[in-house]
Amino acid sequence: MASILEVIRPTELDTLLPILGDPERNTRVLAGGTDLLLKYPHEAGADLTIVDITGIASLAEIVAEEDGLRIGAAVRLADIIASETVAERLPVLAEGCVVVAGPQIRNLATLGGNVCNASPSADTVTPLLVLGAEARIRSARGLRSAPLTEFFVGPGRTIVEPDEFLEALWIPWPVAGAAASYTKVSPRRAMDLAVVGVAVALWREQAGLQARIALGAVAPTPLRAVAAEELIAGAAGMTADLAMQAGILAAAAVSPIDDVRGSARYRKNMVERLTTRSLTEVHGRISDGVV
Amino acid sequence: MEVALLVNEEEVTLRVAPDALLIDTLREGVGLTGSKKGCATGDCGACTVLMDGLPVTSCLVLSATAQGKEIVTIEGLAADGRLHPVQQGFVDFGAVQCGYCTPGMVMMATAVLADEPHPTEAQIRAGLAGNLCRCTGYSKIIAAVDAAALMMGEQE
Repeated sequence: MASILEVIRPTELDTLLPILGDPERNTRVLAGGTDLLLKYPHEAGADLTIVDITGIASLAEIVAEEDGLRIGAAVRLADIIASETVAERLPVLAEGCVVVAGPQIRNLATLGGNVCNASPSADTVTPLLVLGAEARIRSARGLRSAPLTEFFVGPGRTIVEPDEFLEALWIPWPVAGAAASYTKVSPRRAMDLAVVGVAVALWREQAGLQARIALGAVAPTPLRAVAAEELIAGAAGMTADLAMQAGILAAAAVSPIDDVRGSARYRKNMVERLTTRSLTEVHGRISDGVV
Repeated sequence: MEVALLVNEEEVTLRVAPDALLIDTLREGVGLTGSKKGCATGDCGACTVLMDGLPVTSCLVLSATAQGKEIVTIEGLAADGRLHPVQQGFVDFGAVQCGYCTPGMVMMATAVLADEPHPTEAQIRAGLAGNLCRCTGYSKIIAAVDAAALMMGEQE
């Protein structure tokens, strides 16, 4: 059972990177600590060097760029919820953040932490997936970018190597007139995990409707319902029949398990119904984006 | 390692183990036992303190990372021996039974009211969603916070 050997608190990236790359140390990146501090006592292996990244200013910034929004990995969930830019341009992300845990946790927890914890049910991830987010991963070897769809390897596992850390999430600005929603099925209104999570984004292009559908808590990783998206692509409008067929395809794409929170059958059922319902509701909110 | 904090407006410097949690440092290092360790997993809210003005579950904060921060515990609320309106509300409305959730509830309620001075019942409930009570059934706690909001509004 691992214990904490030391806590290092760099204030610069240049100090952080060599520490992560040090083969003599068993490093863990600490941001909010709301998952790490519960998990580390159960890990086997050498005593840990905890590296607190919350003192590196650039990692706690939300920066509006020309093509999209860059959210530093150490940005607290409470700050995403309070961000006017997010509220105006990427509200579905705030919809995900606000249903994570409770207020005290959201004042500590970070976007990067929730993403790297890689729970299949993570409430920030399902919305990030329908927003087409990218992960920016840095090490002493340089910076690399990966679509979030390729970031998760299994429950609790990501593509981040031991000498790397997730530096930021980057989200392209949605097409004008796009709309999205995130629905979390959960017995409690707070302090609970998603039993099923469904996020939907819709917009119009020249060729017709485009969709992204992301599903949480119903597979080893959060995932996009690609077949359902392809069914919708190019459609003139969201008919009841199209929404229903897309729901069926979404349910076919998932592999939920029976566990204490819900049965696999219930989860598949909810994926189908909530996908259909969300597509209809979101379609009512999209526009051509013409001002 | 050494950590220097401001706790209830007093500078405190302590030696702490690298894995020391803030709740334990406050209770055993500083001797402020008002904050309670109800679950040690961030689920119950009994350990809630204000850290740089924001309510956090101190069982999920490494003391080493609280270096230089301003902490307010339940002991820091009453100014010059006069109860804070939230504390007064809890007394007036019988919102304390065993008292174990109370410090965390009170601290969280002060943060709720700082954010929203005239909250609806739904906003109070949402604000206290991270605080569990096994005794009261919450009704009197919510009434107490509502009354405190009125009291504080009258003081403006």
